[in-house]
Amino acid sequence: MDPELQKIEAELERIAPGSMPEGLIGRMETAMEGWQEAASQDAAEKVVPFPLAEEESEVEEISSGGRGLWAAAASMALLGGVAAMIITSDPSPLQVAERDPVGNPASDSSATMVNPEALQTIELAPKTAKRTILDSTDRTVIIPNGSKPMRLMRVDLVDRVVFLSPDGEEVHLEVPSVNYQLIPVPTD
Amino acid sequence: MRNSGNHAMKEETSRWREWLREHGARLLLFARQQSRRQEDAEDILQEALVKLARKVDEGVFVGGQNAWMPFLYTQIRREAIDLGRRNDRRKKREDTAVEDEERLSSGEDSWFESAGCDEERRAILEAALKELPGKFSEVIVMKIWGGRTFAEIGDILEISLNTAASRYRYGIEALRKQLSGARIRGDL
Repeated sequence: MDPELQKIEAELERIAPGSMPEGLIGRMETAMEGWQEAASQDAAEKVVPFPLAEEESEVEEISSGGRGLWAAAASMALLGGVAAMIITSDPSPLQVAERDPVGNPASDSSATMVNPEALQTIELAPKTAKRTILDSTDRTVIIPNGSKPMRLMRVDLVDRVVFLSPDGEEVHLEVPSVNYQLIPVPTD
Repeated sequence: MRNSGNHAMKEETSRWREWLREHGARLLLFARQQSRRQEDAEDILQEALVKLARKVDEGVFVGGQNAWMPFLYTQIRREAIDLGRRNDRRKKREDTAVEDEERLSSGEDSWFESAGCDEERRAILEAALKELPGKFSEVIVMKIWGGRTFAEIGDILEISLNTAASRYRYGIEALRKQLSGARIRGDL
């Protein structure tokens, strides 16, 4: 470094940072002693609430790729099983809604009360499963305790699963869901 | 048992207090350089200190007491980034532009001890330092008043040692130019 710059450096070294007033030292000391309180407040503040409680069960990592999709397919299979119990039930005097005389399958599913003895189960085999991203939005940036800033992204997606009944009938299920992801934010 | 607990707490308290008396001013200077307001600087410093105290008390802090300062510089910077993102930047700029101008002209929010032999020179150096781009002034503050090495500064800022050294040199050079301008204007 040239002498001129060294001179500036020496001048800077001669000035001292403003001292911390005793009151401020006391405040910092008290805060350090009571870190447990601050930690519990931080935890409460940094919890990012999901918009709807029921969406929590559907939060999944997109990055898990095929695994998440097959997990979705498995849950769809369970749902499909339950749906099949209702769809395939025989009409009975307990059934409130009448079937469409033309036999429109859409109106079959409108049954609301079913004779439990008339229920029968069928197995539905998953045929195809597809996850489509509908929208993604940047929510906020958070800094988890002592780590790098992370961007919180909301991803709206829909899972479409096609099941095949033993009779070769296709059952289509669509389940929308919301996924939240933390993405590292580059900083200088 | 209770007495020994109180005694331990008292020892801990005095340990923080003494340590703050020794190092607090340097940390507060860095926090001031990282933020626009004195109050923000104090809050940022407090957050960083609380995180240190927690890690030390929980026994998870990596390194001895010598590692506290680099940790705090890193943490202060992160807190400042976090604070900047939490606030509405546009609004903040609008609000603070006028305040900053008023503060600079009134001599408030001084970074350095005002009691000195060459008060005028100190004021000009301080003003010149505040005028520097943040990426230069943060390196200068850490190097000259924080006593950090370029390697440590590089780690704190997540840049290379060479980049840290270059920023320091460019910063000092920029200060020299500003001070030359002050001499030509007759301020010095």
